[in-house]
Amino acid sequence: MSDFSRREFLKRSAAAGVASGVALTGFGKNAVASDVAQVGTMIDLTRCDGCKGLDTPACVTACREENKDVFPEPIENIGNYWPHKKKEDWSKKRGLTSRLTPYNWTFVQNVNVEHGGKRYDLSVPRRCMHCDNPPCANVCPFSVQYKTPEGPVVIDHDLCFGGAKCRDVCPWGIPARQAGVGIYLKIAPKLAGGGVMYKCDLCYSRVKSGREPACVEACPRNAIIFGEKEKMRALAHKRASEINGYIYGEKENGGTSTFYVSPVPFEKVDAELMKQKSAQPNPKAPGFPGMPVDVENFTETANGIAWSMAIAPVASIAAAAGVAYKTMKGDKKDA
Amino acid sequence: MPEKTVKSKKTIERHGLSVLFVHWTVAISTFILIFSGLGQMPLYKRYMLDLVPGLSWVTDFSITLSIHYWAATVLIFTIVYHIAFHVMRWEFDMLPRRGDMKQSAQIIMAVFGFGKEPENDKYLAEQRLAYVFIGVSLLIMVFTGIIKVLKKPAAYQLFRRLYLLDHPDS
Repeated sequence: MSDFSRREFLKRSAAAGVASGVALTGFGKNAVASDVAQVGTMIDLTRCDGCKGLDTPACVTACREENKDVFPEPIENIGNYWPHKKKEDWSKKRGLTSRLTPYNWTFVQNVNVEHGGKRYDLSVPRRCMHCDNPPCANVCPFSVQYKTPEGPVVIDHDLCFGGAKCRDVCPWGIPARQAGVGIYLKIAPKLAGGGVMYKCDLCYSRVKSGREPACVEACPRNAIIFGEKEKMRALAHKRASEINGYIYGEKENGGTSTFYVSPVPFEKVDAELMKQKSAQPNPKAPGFPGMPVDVENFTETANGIAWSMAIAPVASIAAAAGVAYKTMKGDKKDA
Repeated sequence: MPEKTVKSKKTIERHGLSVLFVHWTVAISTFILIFSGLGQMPLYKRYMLDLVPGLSWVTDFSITLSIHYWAATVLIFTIVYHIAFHVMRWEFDMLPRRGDMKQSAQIIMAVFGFGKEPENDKYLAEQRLAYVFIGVSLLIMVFTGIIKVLKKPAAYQLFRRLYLLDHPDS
């Protein structure tokens, strides 16, 4: 190490830094920049009446009609999720409209809630909230669920393996699984995978061609309003202040593009929904979401750790330079 | 004839602290990454690992994902440290040399009593080859992992800001 000089050291430090520098700055140059204005919906619970007089609310019927070609057609004999003796098969209950299933991507919940000495009958259309930072898409192990530049969160049904992780991390447990369909059948159906996940995609193909989602178009009372997300947010605030009401979906899960406006605090709506859920045959089953207020987005913790991951290479080079310089100056043979 | 004895119990220092640090940190963080990564598949609920006493947390993605990210941070730190440290010190004993494949075969043969083991430098020819194999595998995994992190919109924004690719207000 006797020929070691400060100049030589700096040269080597630079060499060590080049690779990481290139890697860091080269990333993401062509990733999606969202020039497109994001879309959203405002759902006015003072307007929605759950289509009283109709067997099925108009939005639910319209949604089922719009997506009928996408609904799963599973194989005849669907195997169990070994080693469990069960599977999620909704193909015999395609007509079910009182919860979310792979064949029913939106439904209406009815609650009767007291607030300020008055009782309110509320009908709440439910479906995917299309979050700003969707945990479902963030954690999909196959990266086949993603947030589009326009805002809707969509699932690629051809590549979904049906692990249902997206449903586990969704605060509302929205995606619904159908077994006996999808790519897992071609790999090791007995051992891995469970089908394909289905949920509302806010009629993404319609949105892209400038049309409204089917549920919005079908609503006879203009209870679901569709448009630019920021306009929907503003509309929700305006409506909430008019009726001295409450907003749901703006802060929940770190922000969503669905804004519910209600004359009743959502804590009360949630409590009522939880009561209904616990009275169901299988209270633990997903598909009947509550409305937990201020529910947190767990991937924000992980993204916080991403900070340290981003800083790690820089800190590391500094540490290496420090130790290398010290050991070489001290003429230590081996470090 | 005097007996030959070891004079002192002093061990030979083959590796310094930096090398030991890198060795064990890479080993431990990689195993943590494998375990928490399998949990992301999701594998543990299906195969009921959460029913094993003390392991109920393995199906909680908020826990396993955080563990995975922390272990990844440690691994990235260590790999960059390793490369930077040895480049700065201009030490490349671990890189394969011409004829390492042949020498590896000779070493293996010698283990079974065929032929004579060739002269070794600080590391065996096999070790130099294994080093490259493990190193390249780890780099591929780090690279694919970074891509998966950047696919999360919030994390991607953070990277852009941190490395000033973006004006924070834009």
